Amino acid sequence: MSENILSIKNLNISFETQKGFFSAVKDISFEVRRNSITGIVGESGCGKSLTSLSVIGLLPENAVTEGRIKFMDEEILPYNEKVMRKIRGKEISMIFQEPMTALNPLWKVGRQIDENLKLHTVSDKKERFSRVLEIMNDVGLPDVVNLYHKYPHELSGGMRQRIVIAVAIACRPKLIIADEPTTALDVTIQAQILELLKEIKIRSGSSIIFISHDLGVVREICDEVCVMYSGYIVEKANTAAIFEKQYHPYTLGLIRSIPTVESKGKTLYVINGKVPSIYDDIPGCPFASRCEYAEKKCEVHLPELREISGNHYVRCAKAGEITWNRR
Amino acid sequence: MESPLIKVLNLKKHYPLKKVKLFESPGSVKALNGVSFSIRKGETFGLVGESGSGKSTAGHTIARLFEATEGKIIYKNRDITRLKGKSLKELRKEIQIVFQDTYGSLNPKKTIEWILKEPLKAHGLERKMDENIREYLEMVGLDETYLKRYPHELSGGQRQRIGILSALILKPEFIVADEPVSALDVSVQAQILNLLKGLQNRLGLTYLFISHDLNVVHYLCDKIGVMYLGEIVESAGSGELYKNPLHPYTQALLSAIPGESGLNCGRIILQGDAPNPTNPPPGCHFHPRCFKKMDICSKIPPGEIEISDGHRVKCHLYYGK
Repeated sequence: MSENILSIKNLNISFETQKGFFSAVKDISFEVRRNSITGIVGESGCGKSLTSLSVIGLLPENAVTEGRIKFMDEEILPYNEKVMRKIRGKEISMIFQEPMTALNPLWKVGRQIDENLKLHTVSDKKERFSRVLEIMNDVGLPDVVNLYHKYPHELSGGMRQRIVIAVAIACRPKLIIADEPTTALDVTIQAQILELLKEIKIRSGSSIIFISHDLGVVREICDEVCVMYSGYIVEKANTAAIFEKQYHPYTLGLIRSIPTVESKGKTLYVINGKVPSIYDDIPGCPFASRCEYAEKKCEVHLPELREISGNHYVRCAKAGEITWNRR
Repeated sequence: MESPLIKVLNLKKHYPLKKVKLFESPGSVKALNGVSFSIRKGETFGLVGESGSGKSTAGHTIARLFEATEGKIIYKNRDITRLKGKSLKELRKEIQIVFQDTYGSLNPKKTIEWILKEPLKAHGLERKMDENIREYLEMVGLDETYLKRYPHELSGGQRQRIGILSALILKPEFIVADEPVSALDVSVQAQILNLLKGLQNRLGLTYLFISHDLNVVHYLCDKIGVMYLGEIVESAGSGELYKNPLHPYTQALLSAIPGESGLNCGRIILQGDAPNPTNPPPGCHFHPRCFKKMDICSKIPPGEIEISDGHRVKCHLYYGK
């Protein structure tokens, strides 16, 4: 058995639409190690959610995928719906951003956790019931017997998100994809949920792909980070390394534009311009038009994702050549 | 000393609940339960809190979108709590609001030009309309080409610029900004924060800034009020509040900021959720989640005490000190 639970190689996701053919995820490669949390950060529309959906095989029907996705030494691309059905929910599961839409409003929450068990593992009804209560306990829900018979709308946002997590961990999956699991929550509840996810990783040995736009959260919880921009991975390293030194100007810009205690009273750093539209065909570096260090070559040639120091990858032609101005 | 531009005294907003039993008086949701603060001209006052803490209700009530149940709002030494009709309409020119959700607050069927002219028309200011709009568009970093577009053709950041502009167009002095950057990406958020700050310096605006993001509030605000279940539990200058948070809830909030920017005093994880405002716990509303709770906390609600100049807190821990 290899050390990696998931490895993605040269993944491309493109769509055929009325406006034409466009690619949303371009040449993505990364690995998720056993018992680790890998973060994918980026702004809206950078392709981070599509990447995660491709792992669980839930892409829209008009999506065209190329590349390789290997899950536990097994190729899952091209998808075989029969195989995916067995994997989905059991081996790979997903935690969604909006717990209100992820849960069925007409089903009691206990039944929603039960459904996953029924489908994949335990067939005995009584056994399942006690398993569900156990799982609900595990995710830190109080008064579980009572809660089993409640509907989603009767619970608070934090409790609903715990139910969604309970559904996801019900079959003890090897890999959990958490797509912005704390974005809809308050800070104090967010802190609780992050704590819970860390605990799940330690207790059950699952790996987690953690998708977020919030660098603070990613720093807190992830072992490794991929920064995505306009469909590409622009920087990839372990968390400590990437927050210590950013080689890509986009990563640096993202970190600098967050208000901190030190930035009070000063003008915040701003990344000029805006994210290119996915319909734009950019031959060079996708960030070139917004980059203050861009040269002619950046606009023409797409830089490779290269290793700049031990296990620190960056897709920038000028990385390492100059030191970015941190101010 | 200069008197404050706006002063809020013991403001309450209760929403009555549906009557369940015939002879029982129905309860009410105490969304805002005795909030007081004042903002001087050119200052920014921040209200932070989690969902359901009443921060938006406070903003909307002060902007006179809702009628207050009790209490007073004094604007420029004039009581505006019960203004009606013509005088209320006049007030709208001075107090404006910027909303979080630009999809909801900009009419999707109208062009940007129409949206921007609407408030001017409503107040009979058509005369200088065109030059006004041009000047202001430039001020928020957009140009005339945007006038003919519809809201859906703009990006989130651009829509928020229009949202800010449509509040500014009447040249108000006081702006209630209700989570204006919460729906935006980090890099766009920085642009809008810079814009708000720039406009304040240029036009001498006074802001009431509502947010759940403590980093943003600290960055932009001079003073901060922390809200929990309809009350301000602690208020202080923003530097002081960050350096020396007194209320356990503020301490927990600050420690919950993810990443390095949080306080380094170790993470405090609060148990449970914020209680239902229909039926708040007795005594101090925070006591069921509090990690420093004492016997008295569940019995008597704490009053507000001033610890140092301008630093006020509602907590039993600080009595007799």
